[in-house]
Amino acid sequence: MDKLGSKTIIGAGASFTGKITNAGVIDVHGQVNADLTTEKITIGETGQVHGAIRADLVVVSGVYDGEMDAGSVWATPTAKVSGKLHYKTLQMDRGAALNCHVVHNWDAGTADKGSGQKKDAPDAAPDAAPDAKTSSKQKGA
Amino acid sequence: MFANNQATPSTPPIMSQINVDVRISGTITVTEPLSMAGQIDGNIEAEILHITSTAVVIGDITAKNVVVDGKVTGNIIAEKVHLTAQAQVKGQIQCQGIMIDNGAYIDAKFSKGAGTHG
Repeated sequence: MDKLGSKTIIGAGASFTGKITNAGVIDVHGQVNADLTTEKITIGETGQVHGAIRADLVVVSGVYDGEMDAGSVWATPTAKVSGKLHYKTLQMDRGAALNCHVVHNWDAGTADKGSGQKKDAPDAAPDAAPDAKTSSKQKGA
Repeated sequence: MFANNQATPSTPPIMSQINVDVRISGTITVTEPLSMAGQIDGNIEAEILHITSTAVVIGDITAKNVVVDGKVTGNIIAEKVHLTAQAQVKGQIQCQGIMIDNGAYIDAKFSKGAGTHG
């Protein structure tokens, strides 16, 4: 265990279903159908991940399908990504296959800048709208 | 930023392990050795399973060989079970062979499994 360091590894022969939270570093070489919240995740060449990912750094060498909310994304030449990709910085190697909705995360990158928040407003609208309505009603009343 | 991680993608998988801080709800199925150090709310299926002293398992364990150092609440179905001195087990244990170290905290019902692990 010590030899392997302090990371979580889903090996090539492993499949996982459910939810993983609070993991520092995850290496996925097997199959994962789960929502993952972590600092760093590496999807190896044999790895397959289906589900939402929230992470600071995502390295994709395998197959990913789902909604990803990441700081930095690195898609290596063997990567296959589908779904939706929110990112702050993205590196895509020659050969990587991205079949997904790619969104630059303005808000997270420049959270303190007003202009950045405005650009993100349409995305946030469904959540924000009810509040805005109620507040305006309250004002009216 | 990316340069720091150049070596990462091709690391060969040796075995599966779940780290100390990790919280999991769900099922893990592994056909290779698994070292479990985190918290899991769900079932584990593995060949060779090590529940380390930091681990908390709430759920059923199915394996060939299990070594328990940590806390397990649930059923254990295995061929060989080793409960070490730090083990805390609550539930049912169905196995063919068992070893219990002095000091293990066990509140379990034992039964002889007839090769339940497939």
